[in-house]
Amino acid sequence: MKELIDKAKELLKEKKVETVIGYREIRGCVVPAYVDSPCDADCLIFDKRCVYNLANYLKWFKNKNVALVLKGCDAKSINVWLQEFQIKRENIFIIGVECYGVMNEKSADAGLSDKCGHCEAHVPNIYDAVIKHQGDKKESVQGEPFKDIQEFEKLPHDERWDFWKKQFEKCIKCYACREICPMCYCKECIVERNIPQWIMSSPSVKGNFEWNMVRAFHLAGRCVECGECERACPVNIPLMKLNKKLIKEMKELFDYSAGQKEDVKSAIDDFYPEKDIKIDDKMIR
Amino acid sequence: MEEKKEKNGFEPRLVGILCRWCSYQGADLAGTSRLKYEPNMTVLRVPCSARMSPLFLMKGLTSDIDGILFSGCHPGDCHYISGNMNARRRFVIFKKLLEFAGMEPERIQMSWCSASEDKKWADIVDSVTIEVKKTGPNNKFK
Repeated sequence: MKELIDKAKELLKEKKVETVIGYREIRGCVVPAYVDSPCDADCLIFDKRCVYNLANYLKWFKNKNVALVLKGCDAKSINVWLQEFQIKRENIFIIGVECYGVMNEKSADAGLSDKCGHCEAHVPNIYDAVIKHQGDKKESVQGEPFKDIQEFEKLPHDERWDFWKKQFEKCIKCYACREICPMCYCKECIVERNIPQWIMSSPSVKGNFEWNMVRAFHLAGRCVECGECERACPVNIPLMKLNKKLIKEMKELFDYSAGQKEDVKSAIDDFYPEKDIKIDDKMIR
Repeated sequence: MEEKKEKNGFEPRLVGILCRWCSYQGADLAGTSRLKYEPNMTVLRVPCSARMSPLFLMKGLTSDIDGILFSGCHPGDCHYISGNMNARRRFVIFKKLLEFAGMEPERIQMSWCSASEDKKWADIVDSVTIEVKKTGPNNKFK
């Protein structure tokens, strides 16, 4: 971790950035850390307990010079922010860390997280400096990345509905999934609008279905699979299943995956008339 | 109408979200040329098919509407150049998501229909009504 600490110290000494946002350990738990001065930088760490997506903190540091410690999956969200003109590239310094999987916070055996199973971004695709991985480089599990989605699609629609109804019944509308999501940066969210009220604010069958569908749809072509929504959910709704379905459809229909480049349009803003015409045969009269 | 009700007790409530420049005019033409088609659809006029927000579909389905037909200009004919292209991508993705969550695919449909296609419009409404009738009432949120 010396490399990481040295880099942070260098940036703060030269006044390139105001703050370095990284991870630190307090009483055995890893928490996000703001480091403002070089002498505090010794606390920074990175290991497989660092599950949080620190790109989320850009919501509070939009026009400031900050350095962020980002894993491969987290760095993709920076690309989406840049695509949507939310931040300036020169304002942020990305300390990319090579990562071969983080732990699963919710399971007791502390294996790797589900999202790491099919990871393709061990090294971030956008960075200013990269910290090399120490120790053994375990390759992630290869295979069909959307296997569980395909199996779920094969079920009859009644069973699918019953499954989601049971899952959404648990929802308490705490909006933790929205707060933790680096892509949900709107100042006024659609659920908070009263006139007209599109989404019922009560945690009923209707309201929960509306909220969870709209949340998933707003991430179509933008979700970078950091898995934070599912981790933050206090009632364990499998939100990544919805997100993954959209990622799969985006790939199949429009040949697009989110957060790969900073200078392309998002698939939902864009269109290719020649390619899109193929959709018409199956779905449009 | 009454004969039909005796045969099949269920008359679906449908909503049509139509583009002001083409499908709405097409439906209008079908009316002026006295074509007969199923009377189950309530029409909602939007200035362009790109005005269609997925929230419209969502709100319709959660308000116990049995089926929604969304219709716009043919690709390349949009009055605002590319509105229907954007609408198509949005619609397709949202429909896939709703299907994944267990909604029947017949409930949400999309068509291209221009201002002169009155016969096509009548056919579309007829076939959508029949499909939704087969699917049955939307009781999911009751």
